[in-house]
Amino acid sequence: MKNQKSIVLAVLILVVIAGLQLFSRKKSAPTAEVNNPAVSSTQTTNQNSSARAKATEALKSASTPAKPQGEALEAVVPTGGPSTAKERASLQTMAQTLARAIQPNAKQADLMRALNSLKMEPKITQDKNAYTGDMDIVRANNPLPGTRYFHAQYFGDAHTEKFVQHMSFEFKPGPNAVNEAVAAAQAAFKVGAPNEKRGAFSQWELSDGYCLWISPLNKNDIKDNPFNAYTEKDIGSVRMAVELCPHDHQ
Amino acid sequence: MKTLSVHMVKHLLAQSIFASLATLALAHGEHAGPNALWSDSKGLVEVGQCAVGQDSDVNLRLSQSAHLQTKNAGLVTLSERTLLRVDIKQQNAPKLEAEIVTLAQNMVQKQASPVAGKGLVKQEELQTIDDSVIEIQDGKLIESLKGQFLQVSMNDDQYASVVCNQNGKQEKYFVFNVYAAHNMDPVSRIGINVKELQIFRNVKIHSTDEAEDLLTAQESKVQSLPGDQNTNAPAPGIWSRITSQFASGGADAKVAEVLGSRNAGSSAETMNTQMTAQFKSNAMETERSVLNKTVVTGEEEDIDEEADESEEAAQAAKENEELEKKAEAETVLTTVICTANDPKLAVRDEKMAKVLFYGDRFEEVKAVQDWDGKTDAKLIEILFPNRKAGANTGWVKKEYVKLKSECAPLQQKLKAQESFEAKATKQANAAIIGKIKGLDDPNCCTFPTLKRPTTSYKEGMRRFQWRRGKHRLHAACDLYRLHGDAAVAVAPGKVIRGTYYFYQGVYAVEVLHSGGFVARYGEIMAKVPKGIKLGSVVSPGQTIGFIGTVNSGCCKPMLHFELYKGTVSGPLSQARRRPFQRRADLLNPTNYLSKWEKKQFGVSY
Repeated sequence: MKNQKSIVLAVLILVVIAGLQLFSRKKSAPTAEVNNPAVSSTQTTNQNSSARAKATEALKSASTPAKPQGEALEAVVPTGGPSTAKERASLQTMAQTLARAIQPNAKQADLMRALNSLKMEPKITQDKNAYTGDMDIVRANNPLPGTRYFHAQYFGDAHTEKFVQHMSFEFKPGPNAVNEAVAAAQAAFKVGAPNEKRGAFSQWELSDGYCLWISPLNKNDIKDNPFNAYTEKDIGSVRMAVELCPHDHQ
Repeated sequence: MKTLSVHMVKHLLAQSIFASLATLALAHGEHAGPNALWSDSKGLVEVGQCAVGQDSDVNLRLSQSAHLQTKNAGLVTLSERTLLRVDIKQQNAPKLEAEIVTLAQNMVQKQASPVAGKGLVKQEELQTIDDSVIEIQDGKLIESLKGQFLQVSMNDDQYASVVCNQNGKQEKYFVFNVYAAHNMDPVSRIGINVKELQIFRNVKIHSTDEAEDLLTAQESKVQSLPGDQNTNAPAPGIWSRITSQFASGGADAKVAEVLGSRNAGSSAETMNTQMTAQFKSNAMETERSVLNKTVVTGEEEDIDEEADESEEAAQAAKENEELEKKAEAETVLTTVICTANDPKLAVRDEKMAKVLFYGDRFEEVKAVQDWDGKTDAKLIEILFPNRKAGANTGWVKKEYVKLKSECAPLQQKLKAQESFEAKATKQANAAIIGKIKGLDDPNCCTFPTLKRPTTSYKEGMRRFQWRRGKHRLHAACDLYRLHGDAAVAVAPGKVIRGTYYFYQGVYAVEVLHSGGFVARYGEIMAKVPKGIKLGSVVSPGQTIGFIGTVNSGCCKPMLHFELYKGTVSGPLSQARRRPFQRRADLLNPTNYLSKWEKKQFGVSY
């Protein structure tokens, strides 16, 4: 009888220990996730501001290691919901605006006219020097829904007609944002499959030495940007850019 | 093996076949597993179990009139493009241990003993094999490869390599693409272990340009061939088996099984393409009606433009004039807190109910743009880039946020400082002018990175004038270093164009250097070193940026270094000036960099 009691007691103790271990494991799981910036950045969008601050700190403290060449791009977790029809329409309008601005006879004034007609409140600032000419930066202050940070750099001087060297905008992050941007670009620029594709990054070679690329922004991309304001919640925004290609990396 | 028609061959020849070959080799880099391995005793052998090797330097170099310091035979002069196996353990050593791979006739002074083929060679007298095409001439066990061309296979600008289990041993093999003379596609890939190099015993080594000329000379031969036959038909045996497997896409299977991650990537890519195609055909069609309601279609605009062409031109001219006037009025794209007298400005939450923190007068801010496309007429959300993340955004009245150039109190303050600054600038400019006389001044210059580039900037796509198709040439030397390494000023100078978007998410700055030459430091990070801004005076070796990595993830971090004589003015990029799309005074920086490299590090590529 005594033996039976001892056995029952031992079994009970084991059950309690197992239960405690299980409980402690469940409790520690979220802590581990918070330590992972990628996970925390997704979670914080739906959580309170203190959690967001924690994520910000995690983002800030994260080092910026070199992107190991040849490796897949850092996964960008989209934080927004699906885009609306209005936002997709904006995306297509902006892609068309980019496509038209690099047409052989397109002028900076044409772009300004297009942006004005869309009521995007474009503004030009000029950086000029006697040695390397002028760089006009065109920024739109009133973006179309679902897009933002339109930015164009025009180079030229008294003897060189102005031409666009870089032009870009961003599209709202979302589960299908990259595919939507790719489709909009393919329609606007009349291009097929990208010439270069690595992870979510796609690039097409256009005429006149221009390249078109689309890529979701990761934490390194938003760091120290000299033109745009970013916080960690902007990770996953999709940038579409057209620029003169200085060289080829394929 | 694919064969090309005479017409196609002509077309390909006209389009610089070997430039395309090089590109193709890279394009195929994602699946660069070999289809056969080379063995000195057996010739071509079947591939065993292989895994992707860690990218590293191949132990092969070419001489450029190099001298081999041998123990037995003294100084041996090597003819140009003698293939050498080198010991690359000491990358930065001025001399490397080397062994001649190609036959002795490549040496000016013939050496009978193979021992005489070993010795020390100056690293600066060697070049990598990236830009060379190796034509197999003759030799034991290589009959099937005779007349084929080999070029080292690159994977994202790294040498492609695999580790294979051959006869119970793990050996590393570098992958070479194999081309037949008339075929633009590689007909196969061979894995070559640097310990077994008999395959290269009797070869001719061509530069890509020379190979192109060689093929042009063969054009008439090809034209005269009855029925468009290929003279380089493979010999029976393993060679024909691997080439036919390669052409049908089945040859990679054995390697593909163990190249798991790469093939997973390609599957994902295929799926992505399918998804995109599906999305394009379905979703976009249904959304088009929405688009048509909200934006003017391209067709409608085209019609309008044709109808009012002359009126449009006049209007555009007028707008251009206005544009010029407006542009001249604004100079800097910096936005600041602009209060009349208050030293602080309360920054509030969105409802303007609670003060979050205080911003300083004239403190730099950035306007946040929301995704909803709504802008408030009176309020604006701003971010303070120099404050701690998480406590750096809030709302203020729009009237307090202005461009630096439009903030009157700040301009007044700057004007008061002007005489002092003008004096300082004058002194600084005098210091710049007085330092060196130009690029050919003996005191010019310092290398633009603090340590030597990890790879030669004289070869491959890193070199100046690397050709991409017919129309574009590389206008810089790409200096490979580590992400975040300092990019430094090569000479005294002044920043004449601050950080701007350059390419694939990296940036550039332009510096006018003492003596009047201009350098563009491209592919740097957005992060700006303290004290560097538009108008900053810089000294040689001063950090002016940090080496960045393009967002495509394709490449190693690098400094894209462009050099201009400074004899003309105007933008450095010039879209219509082919083939460099650069200003007329663009210089080839290679020799300058080489000189500075040697001066600074005691050795140069």
